Amino acid sequence: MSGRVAGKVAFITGAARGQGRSHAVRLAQEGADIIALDVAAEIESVKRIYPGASEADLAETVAQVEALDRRIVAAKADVRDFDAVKAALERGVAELGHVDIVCANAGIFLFGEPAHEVSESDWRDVVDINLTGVWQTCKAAIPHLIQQGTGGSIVITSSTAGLKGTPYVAPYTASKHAVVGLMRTLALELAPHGVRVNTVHPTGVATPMILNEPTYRLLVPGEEHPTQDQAAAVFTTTNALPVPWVEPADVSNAVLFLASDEARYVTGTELKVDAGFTIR
Amino acid sequence: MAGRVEGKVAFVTGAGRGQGRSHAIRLAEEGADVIAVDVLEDYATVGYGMATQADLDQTVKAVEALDRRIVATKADVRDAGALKAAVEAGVTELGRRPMFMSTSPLALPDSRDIGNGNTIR
Repeated sequence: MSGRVAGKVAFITGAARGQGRSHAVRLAQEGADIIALDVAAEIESVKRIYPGASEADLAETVAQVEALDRRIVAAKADVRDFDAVKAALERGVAELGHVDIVCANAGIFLFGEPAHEVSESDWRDVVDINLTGVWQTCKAAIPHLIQQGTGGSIVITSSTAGLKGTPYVAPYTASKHAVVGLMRTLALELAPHGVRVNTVHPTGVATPMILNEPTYRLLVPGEEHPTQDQAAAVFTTTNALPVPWVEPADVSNAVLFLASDEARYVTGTELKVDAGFTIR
Repeated sequence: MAGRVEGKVAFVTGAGRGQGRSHAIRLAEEGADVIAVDVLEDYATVGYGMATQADLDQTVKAVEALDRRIVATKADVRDAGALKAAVEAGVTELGRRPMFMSTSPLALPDSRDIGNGNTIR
């Protein structure tokens, strides 16, 4: 099998749908086998904004990877539960032989209040999943990457909100900034082992996380039932390029580059896939 | 040929050697035609020699060996007129406006010696 990541194994969290599924499929297209993890359940605090991924979603990711003649080991696990993450990864490594690429992608998006009015439980959910979950994903994988002695690539999903302040999105923005600090630290700790660590920073991505009415309302205040078109017009004003959002595949192509040996000397980088959002 | 930049034309400055030549070849490998320029003259302020005509010829040969087309011109990036002429010549021959531009700026010991009003518009 030829391909830009042929023979590698990628561990991807949040793999049931959205960007995570897209990363799994794109990396599989280029020859990687996949260890997929997703909570595949509703998270109480998120429900008011958008529905959680389901086990059927995760099964669809499995089907799409297998349709590419690649192997995939999928597990239902919460990134907040280190033992579960570790067990899922161990099972994947036992079956697929190794792990070379880590996409710490699982995340949630809560918003709506100024920072001082955010509930403690919302704050905790976002930070536990978006920051601690990323760290636990790395913590589970790094011993393998070091022990294997063949290098590796960790790609953490941050956001434009990991580079700029975002009113009414405090916990998410804090968590997405925080993973940049984790990335820089890991990049230094792991460089002697040939393991590269980078972040990707998408603008809005066309997934259930933003394609929902509560998000449209954030963009179009005062409108009780804003349409996707109304929200798209506002999203477009936030980007430099005349597009409202990017597709999951656009982020996956950046992840693919960072995961591949083409990026062999790229580490500690914040790779923006943001249609120019952060330069405005 | 189905490459990642298939059907595009790339305008590459500093294409005589080094990164510029590497960019030209890598893009050509993925299906792009190339408009290449290089100054091909030494600068009094730069402590190492610039690329030569033989270097640029080598870039041309390498791109053509990939069955891609290349229009190479001797031009100084400080000379807007020369750059414009190089691009126009390339576009005329290759049939479309270049999709992107890859520059390779010099690391000059004293940057005051460059950019004497020759802003490219």
